Amino acid sequence: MRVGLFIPCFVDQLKPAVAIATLELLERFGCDVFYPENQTCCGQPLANAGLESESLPVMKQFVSSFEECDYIVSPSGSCVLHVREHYDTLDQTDSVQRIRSQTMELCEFLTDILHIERLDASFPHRVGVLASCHGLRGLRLGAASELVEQRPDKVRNLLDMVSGLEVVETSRSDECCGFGGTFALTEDAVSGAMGRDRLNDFLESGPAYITGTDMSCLMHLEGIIRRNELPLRVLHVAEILNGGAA
Amino acid sequence: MVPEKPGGTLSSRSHILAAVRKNRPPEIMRPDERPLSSPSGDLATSFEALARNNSSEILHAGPTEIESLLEERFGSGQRTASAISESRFGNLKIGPETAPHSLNPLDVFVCRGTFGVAENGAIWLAESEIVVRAAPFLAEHLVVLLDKTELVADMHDAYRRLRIDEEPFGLFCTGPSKTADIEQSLVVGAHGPRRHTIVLVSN
Amino acid sequence: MNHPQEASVFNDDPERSQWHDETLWLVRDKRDQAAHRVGDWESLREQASQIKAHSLSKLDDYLSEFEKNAIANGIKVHWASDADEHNRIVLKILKDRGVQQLVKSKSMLTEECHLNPFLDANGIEVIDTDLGERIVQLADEPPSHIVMPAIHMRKEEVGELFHDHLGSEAGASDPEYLTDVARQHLRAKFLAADAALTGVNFAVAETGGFVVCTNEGNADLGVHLAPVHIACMGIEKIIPLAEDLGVFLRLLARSATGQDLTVYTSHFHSPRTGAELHLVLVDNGRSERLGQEEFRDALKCIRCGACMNTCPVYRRSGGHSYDWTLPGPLGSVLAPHVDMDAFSSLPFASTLCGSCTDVCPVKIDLHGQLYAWRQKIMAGKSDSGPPLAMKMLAFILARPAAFRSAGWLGRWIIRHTSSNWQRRRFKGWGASRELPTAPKESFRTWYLKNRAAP
Repeated sequence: MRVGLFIPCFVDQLKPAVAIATLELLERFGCDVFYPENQTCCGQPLANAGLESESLPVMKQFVSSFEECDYIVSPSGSCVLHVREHYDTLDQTDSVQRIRSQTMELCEFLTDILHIERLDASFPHRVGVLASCHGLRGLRLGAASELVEQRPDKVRNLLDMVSGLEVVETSRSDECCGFGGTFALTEDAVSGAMGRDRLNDFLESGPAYITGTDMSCLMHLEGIIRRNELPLRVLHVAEILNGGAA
Repeated sequence: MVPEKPGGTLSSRSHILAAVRKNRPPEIMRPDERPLSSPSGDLATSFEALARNNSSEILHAGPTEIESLLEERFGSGQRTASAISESRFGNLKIGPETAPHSLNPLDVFVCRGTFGVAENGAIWLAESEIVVRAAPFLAEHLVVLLDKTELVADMHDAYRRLRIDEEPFGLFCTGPSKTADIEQSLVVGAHGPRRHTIVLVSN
Repeated sequence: MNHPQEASVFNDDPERSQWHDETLWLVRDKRDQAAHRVGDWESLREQASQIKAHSLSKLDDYLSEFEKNAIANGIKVHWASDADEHNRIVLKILKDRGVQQLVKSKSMLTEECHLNPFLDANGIEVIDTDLGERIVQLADEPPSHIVMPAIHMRKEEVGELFHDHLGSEAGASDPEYLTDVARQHLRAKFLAADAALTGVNFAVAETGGFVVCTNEGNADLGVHLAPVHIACMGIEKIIPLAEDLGVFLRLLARSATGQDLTVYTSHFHSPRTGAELHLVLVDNGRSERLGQEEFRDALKCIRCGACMNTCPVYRRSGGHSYDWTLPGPLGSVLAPHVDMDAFSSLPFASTLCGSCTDVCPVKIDLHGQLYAWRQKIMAGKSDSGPPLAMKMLAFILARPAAFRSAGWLGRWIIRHTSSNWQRRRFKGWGASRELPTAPKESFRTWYLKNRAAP
């Protein structure tokens, strides 16, 4: 299975360990992974700021950097959602359609395509799961609490395969953490309040780590954790599934 | 054909309709499925439980026990009325001619309900059964007699049973009036009745 | 208006902001519990969405059908193109009958049209009878939520307000006592009113009647006593068939407050003997919105308020921070139609989390519309153009080499500056957070070293 690795811009620059973990994880499951080195960004930061039209060159750069493969996998729910949903503004060439249909978030890919049932990973810690909104409500990686439906939780099912890992519950299971892209800068009062509330919720059940599918959300929380010297650490789910290097 | 001018400016009407016609999207069909009713076990049990949840009081009576029950429980009020023609209850006589203001204050008002809805504890009160529209709202205490077999499962069944324009006015009523407008604290008894009793009548 | 500024002020009182957030979260939670007790909840939402979409696609036909049937029932039907005309029509009905006191139950439409100040200026005393609305009326404030207008006020504040205006005990704060004070005060108003005005929750084309839902009984007390009932509705409130009420009513109260049904669901077809019943159909921009593919679905709205209760931003900034008739996600997709410039901050007052769309009983893609508004708003700033920083970002992100250089530079800066400098220089991020630490190597560099074929 030939898999193109789609690494969000900020992960490439600021959290390469997440990308390395994603790569290693996919390789462990026998994927032939390549990383198109000319990728930059999917364009989401611009589009969410209302500059989708300005981001067209960025979108086109993204499309052109991914040659033919079976799937494109990314450790980011929001970036994947952006490609699947908002690349409809591009001319729907064969490449664009291919890329839109093939782009998948990591947990989605491991569950729906590789059908992983066993993981050789250990992480004997209490872990809080941040159900990032774009993954949860956009990609339906799990059941949103406001919907009346049963749906498997792809992230939690994978975490359950990690030996020693205990998922802790929170009182609001899927309220937004408050990152929201440029929202974090323009509405910083509310963004900060949302992030602190999320962290206080986690602190009630006292996990050692917080994990999730989106490093952007986790970096926002990590920034608050460090500013307030809270007893929490963040790790992307790829890092935990890959053996829990902390 | 130009319709009879009802009271607004004719030009506004035609402008609005023309704008709507011009801007409306291509026709979208109604959903195929008619909602099924959701019978969930014993309707009476569900109805009673939900009515109590709505702060209604439930009493049971046989048809011959109603008069004495009404007198015993609610007869002591200073100003009481009933819309049930066969009943002697009530020291105020009411009819379709009754001026609603003249009823205030009203301690107890008794009327018949047509049917109850099991999914929410509501009862349909038709104008013909309440006689004076204001009465069920002015009363401090509303008492509704309901034949205990006249229950439907849910609102879909309710609207299948009702022809809503058969009477000029009607309402679903689930219990005493209430509000939570102050700090989300539930207060039973807002502007309408403070108490609501349902008398389930067996036959 | 500027939402971030108002939101910042709201959060200057973290205790109050937290109380507001928790109070509204409770309502969201009650909604969840009620929804989960309805097995076919999601299919109901789908039905409601489709019925509304169908209805909007034949709106003129249904409006005509409704009018014909309503008139046959004895209802006087009026048509108002805009807010001004609506206000003038209402005033004329009142003046022609010598009305001096009008009791009014909740109608967001009349808020939209600013009816109260208009009538006030024309010598009509307007008394809002919904408890929450009466509270904000006495406080001379706009409502902060469409279902719970005074949700932003503490009970002590209501106690003080009632003491000042209604002569109740000083220092009182018991909601039961205060509600009773309002009951006595408003009962007198109901009895003395010359006319009563209500909103409309649903108007049924098939039968020419309409439905008004309340918990307090205030709409009914007004209209069954006064000789004149004026009902005001937006043209989008039409539904085709009586049986459709089953779908909408099963969704409305559960979505709004977690109740299975409002206490009173009153169905009006004809005036009571000797009284008059008027209905004012209002456009005020709705027919125009009907023509906008991206935004027309907001016309499906049944005004339940669930989107506000679930919105983490609304809960932490309060209804007044939206500075418009309707707050929260709904307000944010409607206000820009009125004035895109003035309300340009509203579609950005969101993380696009999507919870509003999930709770909407008629499945309006609210966060999709927020995203669409963002594009329109930024395109509308074409004379000033996007901010320079964003232009630079777009330039950099489209060019791999530029991206790599900028990334390297950014990381270098982070590694060689102090946390304090960063906090001051990057105020937006730095207000609540430390900047992320920056590695020496990007992933790309690592990959080229460790994986790429030599």
